[in-house]
Amino acid sequence: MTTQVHTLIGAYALDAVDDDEREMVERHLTDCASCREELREFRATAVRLADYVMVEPPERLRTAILGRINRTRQSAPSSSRSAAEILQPRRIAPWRRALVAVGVIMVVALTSGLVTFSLMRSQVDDQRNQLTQMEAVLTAEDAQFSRQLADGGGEVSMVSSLELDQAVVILSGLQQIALDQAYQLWLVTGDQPVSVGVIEAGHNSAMQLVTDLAGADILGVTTEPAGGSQVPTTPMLAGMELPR
Amino acid sequence: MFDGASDRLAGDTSSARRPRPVSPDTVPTTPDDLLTDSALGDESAFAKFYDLIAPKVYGVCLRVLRDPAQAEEVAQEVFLEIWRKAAHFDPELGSATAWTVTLAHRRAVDRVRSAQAATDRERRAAAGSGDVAFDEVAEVVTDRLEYRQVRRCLDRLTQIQRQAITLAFYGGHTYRQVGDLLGTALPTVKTRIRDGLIRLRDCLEVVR
Repeated sequence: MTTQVHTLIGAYALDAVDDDEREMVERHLTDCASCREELREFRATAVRLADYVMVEPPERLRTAILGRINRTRQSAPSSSRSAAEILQPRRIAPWRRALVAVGVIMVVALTSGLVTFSLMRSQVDDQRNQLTQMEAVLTAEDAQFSRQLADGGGEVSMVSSLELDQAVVILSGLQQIALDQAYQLWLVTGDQPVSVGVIEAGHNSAMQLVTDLAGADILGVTTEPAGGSQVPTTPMLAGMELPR
Repeated sequence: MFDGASDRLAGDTSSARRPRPVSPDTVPTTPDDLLTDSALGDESAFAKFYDLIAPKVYGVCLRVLRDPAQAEEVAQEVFLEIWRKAAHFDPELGSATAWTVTLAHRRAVDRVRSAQAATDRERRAAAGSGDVAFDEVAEVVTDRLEYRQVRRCLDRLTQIQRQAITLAFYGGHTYRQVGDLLGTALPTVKTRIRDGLIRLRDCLEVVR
């Protein structure tokens, strides 16, 4: 097994493995120093392959990027994060497809009041109870829909009902995060943030029921260490005003 | 995670060959220095960083994606991600160039493997625009030392090593797909990729 994994390091360095194999290699790397050394050399070699296909990009790419950086917040340095972590594998949540469906369903729900949750139920059975509550929010008479692009990519959508004092928050395709990080949701009243949910570590798409809105002003999202923090430790990626 | 020394050498070569608006007696500005300055919000440093490595980033994206529009999108995402995370750049783990190019390749490959891109690509392939069109359309920068060096080293690989590595890296294929394309058994493909990388590494004098 070890030998087999070891021979995959070359393919891994070229991003030529599938997701399962990538995880297998990464597990193997954690306790094989010589493999990490070999990977370092292979990666450095692979980077040189770029020198063979250099193409001057169109000027509009430069203009677009430089035009966007002054509107793009930079994250603060942190000793616990490293360049390597940015290259952690993309974790596609198994029910990401369901989320897409949910997005569609939400639109349908808000426009026609017609909701079919069979698809969601079949894929996230264990969350049935929560889904029933979510369904109630999505179909509430006073449901309000809002949406915001998140810093770093993706968007946050929210359907809230003042009457039920609940909201359904959907994170879709947010900035990729490392496996030891997680998105966390906060209700902010004045300047007091209260955690209202931590998304599974490494996942950048999720749906979350938020209860007890209790007159909060803002629903915010931050990146935190896996498992969440007591108070936000990074700037909000998105902050959505709650209806009053 | 990368061999910083070797990539800094490569970075120095490219910046030395590029006209720079600094006087000769100032300290040479490497991608590493520029990204470090960018972390402090220095937009002009980031612009210089972009100028130095954009051809590599865009070139990799274009080669993998075979579609200028998608290559621009991915390259833009990559540079914005690097800008955002500039403060996390750690030269001990590898050069700024290596960090950025590795990220670009990964994101381009992710895009290729997403269902939609695959469909588009098949459609283009079916329409007859494969390798030939790419080579005609894209003006690959061939007048740099680094280009000639990589070319010379690729030429020293066996045919199957070269095919396996170029299909994987430039084609964005998994080694399984490479096996299918070449009609070669998977263990052989894995071995050829590994042997080829070792030979390339030694030829390119990637510092060990």
